[in-house]
Amino acid sequence: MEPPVVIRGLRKSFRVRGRRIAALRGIDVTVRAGEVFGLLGPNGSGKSTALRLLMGLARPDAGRCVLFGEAAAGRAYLRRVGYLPERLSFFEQSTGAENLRLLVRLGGLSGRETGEAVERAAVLTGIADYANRPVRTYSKGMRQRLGWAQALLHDPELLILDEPATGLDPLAKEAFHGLAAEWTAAGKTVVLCTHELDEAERLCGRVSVLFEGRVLSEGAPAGAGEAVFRFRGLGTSAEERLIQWLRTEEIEWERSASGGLRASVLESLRTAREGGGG
Amino acid sequence: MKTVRELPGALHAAAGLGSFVFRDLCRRRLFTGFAGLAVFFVLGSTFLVQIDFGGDARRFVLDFCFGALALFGAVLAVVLTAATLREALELGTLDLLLARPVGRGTVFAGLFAGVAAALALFVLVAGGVTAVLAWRYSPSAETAGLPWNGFFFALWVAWLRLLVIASMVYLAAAVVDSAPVAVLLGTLLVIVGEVQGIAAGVWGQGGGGAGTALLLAALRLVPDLRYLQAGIFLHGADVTVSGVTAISLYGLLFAAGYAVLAVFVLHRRAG
Repeated sequence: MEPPVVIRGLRKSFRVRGRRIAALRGIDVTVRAGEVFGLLGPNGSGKSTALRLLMGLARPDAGRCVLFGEAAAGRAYLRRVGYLPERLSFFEQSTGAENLRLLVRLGGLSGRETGEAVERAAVLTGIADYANRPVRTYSKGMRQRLGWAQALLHDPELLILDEPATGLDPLAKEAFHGLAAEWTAAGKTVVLCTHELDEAERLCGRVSVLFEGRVLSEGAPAGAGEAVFRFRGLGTSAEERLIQWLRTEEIEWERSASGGLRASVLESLRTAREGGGG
Repeated sequence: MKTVRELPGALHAAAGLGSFVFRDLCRRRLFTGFAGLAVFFVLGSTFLVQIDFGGDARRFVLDFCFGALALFGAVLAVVLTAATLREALELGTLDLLLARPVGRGTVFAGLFAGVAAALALFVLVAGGVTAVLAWRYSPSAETAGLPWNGFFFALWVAWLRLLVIASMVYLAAAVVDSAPVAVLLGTLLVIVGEVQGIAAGVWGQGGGGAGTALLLAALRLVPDLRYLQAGIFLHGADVTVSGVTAISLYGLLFAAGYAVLAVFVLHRRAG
């Protein structure tokens, strides 16, 4: 079976105040059908940029993204993809249901299909009670659920979610994890971008760790000790930032004989899980 | 680029987005506030007309109301257009729209169509109140000949003027990186549009060198907004088909040109 997502040699840089900043420095990722794949890394590591390029919202400097066998420059594959952006914004004066109806209509559905799709997504994400209120009255949690609903509108095969539960209270996070479990059970492919290790560990079958626009490693969070992450040749400032992130996430690390950094993220996750009684 | 086969779908999507944006804009305080302000001034003309300016009352009401419509309409067109595009770009609404199988051109056309429709509603509301007020006053010899179609052409040209202003601001908002700068640049373009006829007249008379000729040529890239004045249809002037067609073509060509240029810039700047 053809993998739903293939990324090869993807590079992207931005011009900021006359300086060119590299966001992605040539990443390779393959996501298999039916798996929940995590893009893990600290803020500014290039996760969201990678997802935007996947969705065709920005143009890569080099490399390619292929979704369902079609280059991301095309638009037809979007019928099979649901996307939750990191910055979530709707038409504020309109109701949640009206926003959803517009997005369904832009997706190519019409008439009775529109109403059914909106109702199904609203029930599934628990927004049915307030779907007819203007979005400007929504709390952050409600907006996030509306975001999940719009991603699910056309029952996509592939879900691309950028920080889907960041900033939510534990109850809302739990609701999202339940929803994600349902998607997995339904055989949907999910690409999840997060900087929270516990979320990646809980939801993802495999993760790629991104740092400074590079894939440092790829492995299974729930796997055994063979998946050891190695960080080499990052440069002094990047290495300092990486160490800072590892400390923040309480990941144990050490210097390898070659002078690079060696950290077992997976081992740390497993320890944390066992320590937490899970 | 859309193929011919895809075009009806793209038009359908643009129309759907346009009508949605129209409804959303009409619910904004900015829109209702400016519409309310325009209606307030239009109604205020009935009090001002009590003061005898020595002229025709109906003519005074028409001039005053269309003046208020042009002034508040211009401000509304500048602010509403800049806010609509910049918010979509900066807050992330655009990403949600572009995550659907529609082209960028379709989305940007839909957004602009929504603004154009909201401005049309503004003109209709203010114009409707003006019509009710104006026809309460008995016509003088000066305005007796003013036919209803003259009034409707005046409304059409008033909207066309706002459409041209909106298209210029749309381009400005596409070029710059923030709503306030877009408003400033848009306002500057409107001012240039208002005074360019005068400037061309003054500089043209003086002869001038290559620099003046270049400046005049550059000015011609901005539409002469004085050409899009509703007044000529209100003052009993002969309304000819060719006259209306010429003004309409002038406005529509500039509006379409600026809007297409804005979409092109937004395409180029994407990503």
